[in-house]
Amino acid sequence: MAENQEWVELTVTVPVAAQDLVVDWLLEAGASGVQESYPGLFPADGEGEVISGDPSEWWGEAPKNKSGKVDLTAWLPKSYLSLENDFQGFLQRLEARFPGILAHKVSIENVPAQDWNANWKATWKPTAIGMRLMVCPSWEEPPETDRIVMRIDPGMAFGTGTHFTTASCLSLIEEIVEKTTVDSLLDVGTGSGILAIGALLLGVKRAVGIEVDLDALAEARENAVRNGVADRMTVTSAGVGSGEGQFDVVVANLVAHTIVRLAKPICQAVADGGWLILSGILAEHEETVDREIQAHGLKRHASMTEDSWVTLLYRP
Amino acid sequence: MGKKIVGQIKLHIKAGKATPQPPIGPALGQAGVNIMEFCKAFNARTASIGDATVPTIITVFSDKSFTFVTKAAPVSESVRKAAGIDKGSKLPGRDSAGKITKSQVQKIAEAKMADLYAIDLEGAMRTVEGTARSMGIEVVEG
Ligand SMILES: C[S@@+](CC[C@H](N)C(=O)[O-])C[C@H]1O[C@@H](n2cnc3c(N)ncnc32)[C@H](O)[C@@H]1O
Repeated sequence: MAENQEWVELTVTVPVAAQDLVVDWLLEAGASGVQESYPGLFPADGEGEVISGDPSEWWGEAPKNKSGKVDLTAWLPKSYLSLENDFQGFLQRLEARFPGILAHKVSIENVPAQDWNANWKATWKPTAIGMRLMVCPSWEEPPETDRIVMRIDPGMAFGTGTHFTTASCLSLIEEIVEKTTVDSLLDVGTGSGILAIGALLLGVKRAVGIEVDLDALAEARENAVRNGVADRMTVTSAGVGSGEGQFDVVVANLVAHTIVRLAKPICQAVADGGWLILSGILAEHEETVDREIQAHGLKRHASMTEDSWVTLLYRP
Repeated sequence: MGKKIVGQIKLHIKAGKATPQPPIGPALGQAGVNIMEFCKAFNARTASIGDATVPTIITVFSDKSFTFVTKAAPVSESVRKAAGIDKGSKLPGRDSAGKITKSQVQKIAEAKMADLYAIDLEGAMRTVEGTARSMGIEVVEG
């Protein structure tokens, strides 16, 4: 994902009946998505404001959209220069079926590249994970604690420790490190690098983080430096099974279908007597993943679950 | 229980391809939701759908947690697929000639009944046909 991409934001008011066609046109024109809003409409019994969306899809009594109109906002690449012309031309063709559609102003504004996660970041506070670790946002003063503090700036990468899939993987790594000596760890889909860095801080000697997203790759490297473990951590975009050998612990917090697709090289990377931790799996996909991993000769050892997420532990 | 709802957001986004960029970035950022967490959950749930746009309604709670539901793809997308018109093979807005049969119309109408605010199948089919015509697609018997 290109973090620096610049966008234009197009906003238009259209009759609800024309919405589908307009959304379709915008998506075909290259919009990354479209947001629906019904300003001035509030759900009858909701506690807060509807930021966008149709309150009739809310529970309770549906409020009536007296205006019969909807605001649509779409984001398109700034490089689409004839957007305004093309869109007006499209509205002109719709005018016959939806008289008056041309009367509404179309607004097109530049949106500078920015960190959309900034609001959320402001609410992210130091979090204890397992028995020994404390994840602390890189911009926050670490609290007084006996725990090992790990400083993370996820940037636009995944991995802050607040998500169950990350926290459960870290707890399992901690348990394994308590039990045995772990020399090496492979982290497939390292994101912010949090799992590999956490493992190194817990005493694992060396770690390799694999990542396909180039933005995340850079964040993982910076986080390794931030925590003083860069000399023991390799971050790479090389695919799993491209010659990094075997590891005492392999952890992969991915989505189920990627795990299934990469099952063979992932399983082969687990050393004899080692451990495999899998996460990012929705309960409905657990069976498929489990079957695939057992088919590669590993045995299920334990599992953890919260909400609809499942984390699985295997051994050869 | 007892979690307060602070907002609801509706987006049309690509199945399995959520990123922290617009529209998810600005829409969820404004609500204070952890965007990466949403992207992960959304992609996990929709990756198997393939190349399609999914109308998605996200409900945000006071502790910044969220839930979301996805709905059936919009009529126009189903129509375009049924008519076999390739994505990107036409300039946006340019009328694209294509054909769709009555029975295809009926299938789409059935799948979308709940979302079309139509009282009966006939009404839903008329809406689908109207959409097809506005897209320059002809409805034929069959
Ligand atoms: C859910 S995040 C996990 C981040 C971190 N390890 C954690 O547990 O919080 C999954 C990461 O895997 C990356 N990824 C997805 N497919 C991949 C693949 N085939 N190979 C390597 N990385 C992949 C994604 O870019 C994303 O950063």
